[in-house]
Amino acid sequence: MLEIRELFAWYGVIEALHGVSLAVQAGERVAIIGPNRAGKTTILRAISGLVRRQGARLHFDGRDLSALAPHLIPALGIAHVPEGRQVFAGMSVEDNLLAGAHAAPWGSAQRRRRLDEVFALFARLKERRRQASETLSGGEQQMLAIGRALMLGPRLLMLDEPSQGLAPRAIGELYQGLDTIAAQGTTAILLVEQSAARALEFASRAYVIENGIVALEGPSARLARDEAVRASYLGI
Amino acid sequence: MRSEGPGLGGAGALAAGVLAILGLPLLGLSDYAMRVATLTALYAVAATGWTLIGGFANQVSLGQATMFGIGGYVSTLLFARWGVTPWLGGAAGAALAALVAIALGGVAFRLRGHYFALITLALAEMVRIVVEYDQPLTGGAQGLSVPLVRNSLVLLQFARARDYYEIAALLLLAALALSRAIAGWPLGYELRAVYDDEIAAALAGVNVRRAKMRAFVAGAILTALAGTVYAQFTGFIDPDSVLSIPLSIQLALYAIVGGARTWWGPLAGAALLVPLGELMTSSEAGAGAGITKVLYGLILVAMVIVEPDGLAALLNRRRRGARAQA
Repeated sequence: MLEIRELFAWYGVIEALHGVSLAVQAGERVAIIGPNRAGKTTILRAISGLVRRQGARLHFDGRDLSALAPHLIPALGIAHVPEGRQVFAGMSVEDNLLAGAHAAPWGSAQRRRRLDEVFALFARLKERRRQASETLSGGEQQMLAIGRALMLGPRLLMLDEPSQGLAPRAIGELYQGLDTIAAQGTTAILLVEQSAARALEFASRAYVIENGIVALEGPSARLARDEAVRASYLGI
Repeated sequence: MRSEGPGLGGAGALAAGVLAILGLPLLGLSDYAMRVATLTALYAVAATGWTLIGGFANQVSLGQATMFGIGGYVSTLLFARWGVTPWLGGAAGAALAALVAIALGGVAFRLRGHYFALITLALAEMVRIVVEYDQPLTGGAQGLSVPLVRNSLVLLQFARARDYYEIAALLLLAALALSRAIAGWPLGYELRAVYDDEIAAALAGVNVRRAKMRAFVAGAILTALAGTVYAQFTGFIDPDSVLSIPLSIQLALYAIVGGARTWWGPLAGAALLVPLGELMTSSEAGAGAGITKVLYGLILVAMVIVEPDGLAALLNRRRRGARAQA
């Protein structure tokens, strides 16, 4: 579904990705792990068109993403939850979710149904639907950011460090939600995580990114046994 | 459904507001009071134009006076040199302001952050300098007088202030209706999303550049129309009165003090500050003129400390408090 070959990306004149190849199949759970500043976030940003990028192939469902502006990409079925829980602080919970459905050419009935689905997934959001989103806790804001991404009914959900800065209990709830989403089988998840242990536990396959290239890839279970991964990322 | 959506009362309150604005002359106020009311309405329109982009999307324009000046100069030049009625001249001014906004936005909206403010400021200075130096066409720093014809609806000139007021009031109602409508349209959502986070907005499928452009152009048109009526009303314009940076800042200030994220905030701010400014300027044979600017500055500082989102937020908070107690 998502096919990336030899992807390069730049911040100004600085090359941040030096030929990354990566694929995500429909309904799959894939993790990207690696040290800080290795380029994990940049991969997601490159897919979404938020950085200057060029690849031998950058396709989603056979469509070339490299010519598309960022705002056109969500409508293809790619939802990106950026780092740091970017909710629209000035809007209510419900308005945030509706803003997420913005790119969808749907009638209001379908939006309603999506909204109900998100509320079924994150009951807490339903309780707080009228509340200003800036008054939510960190965990709730992350749920909201993910809920907003789901409003498009994406086939690929990209999450950038979703557990960052959350309390352990909130992280547990968050991953429960992600499990539910993945279990439905219609949405593939591409997860960037600082916490490698958690990411490998969640994903079936993973990529280890170091210095802007793929250092290692394979099934999560195998990576979790790998000596180098254990030493560098799992702290064992 | 909405957090910052239209708001402010139901249909009854709205109708009362419309009647109050249109019916103000029935109070039998003095000609001077009506002049102040007219100025207030015109500045409120111009500030509403500012708020569409500066308030709704937090893209602060420091050159909104440029649009005001374009409206004033285009209609006045067409009228003075070729006898074109200011009704058409106003439309021409609005069209030119829209084109300038498109050109400016085309450059500025490619960049994020403070570039928009800087570019609007730079353009405002450029336009002012060109107008000051091109004396044969524009009258230069001495300004331009509107040829006096007196009392002609066709030529948009009246003997009494209250007639100008009605024109300004109609324009104000149109501006408020547009601003309120935009707040409720998808464009309103888009601008609020841009306000909060441009990247998150783009990831939610918002065409950030197009949303900003639409708001900026709509605002430029409103501000230019206010400029045309202002020129007719005062009968004289010069770069200081319609193209200056202090005017740009004043317009932003009205919106910010009133509540730049609401459709009625700019009117609230203008209704408070314009009469106050006039009062200060006219008292003590103009000795208050300098004090006005100091006072504006103090009000802005106080507002930012007490409630950065303006009178509108202050009022909302009070209402919410009252509801919580009930």
